Amino acid sequence: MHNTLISALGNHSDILNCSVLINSLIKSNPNTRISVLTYKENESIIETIPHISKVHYLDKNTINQYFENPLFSDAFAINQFTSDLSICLTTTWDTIINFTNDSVSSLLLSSLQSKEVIGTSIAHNGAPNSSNRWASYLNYVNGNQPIHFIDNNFVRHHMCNTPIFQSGDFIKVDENYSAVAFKNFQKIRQTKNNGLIVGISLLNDDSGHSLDQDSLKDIIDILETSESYRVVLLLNGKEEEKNTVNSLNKQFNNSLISINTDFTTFSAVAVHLDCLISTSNIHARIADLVGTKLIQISNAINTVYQNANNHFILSDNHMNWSNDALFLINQEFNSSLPVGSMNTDLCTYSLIEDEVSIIRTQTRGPINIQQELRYHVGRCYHMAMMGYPINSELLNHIRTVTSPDDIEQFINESKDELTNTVRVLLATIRSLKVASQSKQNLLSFISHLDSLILKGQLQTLTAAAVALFEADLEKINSSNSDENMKFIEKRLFDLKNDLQIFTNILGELANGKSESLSSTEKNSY
Amino acid sequence: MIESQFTFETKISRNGLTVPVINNIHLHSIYNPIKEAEAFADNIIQTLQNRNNILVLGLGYGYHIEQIAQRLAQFHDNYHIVILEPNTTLVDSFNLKRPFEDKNIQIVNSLDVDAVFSDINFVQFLRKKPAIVKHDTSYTLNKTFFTKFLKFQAPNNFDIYFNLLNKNAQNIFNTYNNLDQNFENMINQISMKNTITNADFLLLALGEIKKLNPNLTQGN
Repeated sequence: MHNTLISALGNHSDILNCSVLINSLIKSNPNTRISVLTYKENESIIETIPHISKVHYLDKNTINQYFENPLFSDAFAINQFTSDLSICLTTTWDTIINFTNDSVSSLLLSSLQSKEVIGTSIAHNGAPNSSNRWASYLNYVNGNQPIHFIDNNFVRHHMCNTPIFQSGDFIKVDENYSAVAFKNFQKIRQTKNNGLIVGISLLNDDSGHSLDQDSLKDIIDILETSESYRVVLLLNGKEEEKNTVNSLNKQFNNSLISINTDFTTFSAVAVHLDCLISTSNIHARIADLVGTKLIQISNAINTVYQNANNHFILSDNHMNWSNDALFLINQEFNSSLPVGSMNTDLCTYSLIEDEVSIIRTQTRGPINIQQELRYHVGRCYHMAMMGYPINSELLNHIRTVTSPDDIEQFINESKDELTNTVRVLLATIRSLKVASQSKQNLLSFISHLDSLILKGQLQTLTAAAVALFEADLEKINSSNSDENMKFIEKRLFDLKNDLQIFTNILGELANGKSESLSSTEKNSY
Repeated sequence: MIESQFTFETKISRNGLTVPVINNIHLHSIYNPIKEAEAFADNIIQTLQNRNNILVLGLGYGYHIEQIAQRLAQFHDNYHIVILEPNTTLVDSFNLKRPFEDKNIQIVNSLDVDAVFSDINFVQFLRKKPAIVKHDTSYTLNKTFFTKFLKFQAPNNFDIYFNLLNKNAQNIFNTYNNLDQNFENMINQISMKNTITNADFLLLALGEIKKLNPNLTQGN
């Protein structure tokens, strides 16, 4: 057996996200024995994930209770911590994976005995140590950028060198609960000529935001008065959720159906829903894992879902999204529910599958064309930088469907970003050459290098290339300065090559062919 | 109060119950200890209704404890009473003559406050945030002990609490056992080391877990 430990020291959502990777690892190598290290507070969720042989719990709350109370010695916190980790510490693992890419996991995994560490750990000299370029991408690019051009699920699979298996068991579905839910849902369907059931999750999202009440009332009104839809309100037993159900029921003559389930049984309910409307919460993730259509009302643009055909409506608090959700329901189920207005201020995105993974595309609402170009061209660039061929078909398509003015604006802005980075890169290369000749110039080189690394923290399309360069620099562990200078020089030219890819993409976007980095710089000057 | 300096005797109340007398102070009513205990428990009924874990400062001869237990049983399916009593002679006499039958009641007998807070079972009970109830006569008799108990703060330095670590933790962190530093300073020192050991990684990870607690600020 191949003993693998996955460190998933995150929240409930992180735990559910790791089920896709676990499924892929098992399918790639059925001899894999998966153990998971997670926080005790995730116990109910982790039990719903199949293929896990053993879970090691770190009781964060108890540890912090000991730390927090001046009556208790810190010794008790240390004892709890080492007891929780005792098996992990005494086992020699074949592979350990830093799934959540958090600081606790990075440090812990560095102290465990393993033949292979996947992800970012910390070297004995204190520097972050990424196992491969995808691990660097997860840590230095997605870990720092608000918009993910390549989603974490895709990145993590590449990091583990494992193909993504879209089929399989991602979450346990309790057969008994499922049978009861099926029977009850059949009865509910019969009230609307074998109609469709739309679940609405009343759970807050991971940041505590709830669904807008006016939107809820409006959509329930339309669905419940329709001939073919019934609404089922889904809650997890919190007082706030119960109050919402009571308040809605008052407005609908106590006719609404609500189901109160815990997380462990929700999959048995979700599997029988035709569609789920939800914030970005555990219900949404579970629905995605069981393949139920999802309309997520979200205030963030990143998605972690694995199923194409899911949708999300970008809505800040208190913006009415009911028309947009009804529009999607009509589209998905070929119905003609009344949609108040075809115009909307909200952006709807749908997840679609391209040749390699799931991408989002805007399907409704005011389009910010420059933002959309940044996402699609940026994604094309990041994929190419990570070893995939440049998606010329996509670039041709963009050129065909986008006005030349918009493309020109995008290219000009991108070239400005590129030029800013290339200028600092070339100055760094020049200063390195001077520093190689005389150590007196070392400070000037370091100053240029610092300026270059700072470019990796900006929200530009070239930032990822610089961030990956920074990740490479962290690998320096030689005390020989000449060796180190040579290593840095090589990496600077690798960065130049990565930036050349972006130049090529912009060239292809402009006129169907690539141009060289030096011409980009010359033109920009 | 030092045990060798006190006098201990028992008397029989008017209604035939044993009443301990320490330094000529009766720990319960010499007329009717039960009635007194009922009044004592009724006086804190709100607390007993709201909390199922009670820490009682002072054993006396247990009459007040039994009344507390009876009321807790009415309000809660599960309850737990821990009695802190420094007087060993009193505890021995009590255990000999009328030990508690209720398994939810436990006596912690120690004169050493540090030792009390070193007992993991007692600490785990305190984590449940019990209500604290004073048996006034016992409290007055042992004021120094109970005041020290109520004002206790655990020592912060690693070298002092090293002996409280379990065997596994002592093995892992034995290189730090003489370190006269609190946890935060240890973490800061480790962060500045050129070579980080596996034990260092563990402490740094623990430091990160501590940072994740929104109730704790750096340096607490």
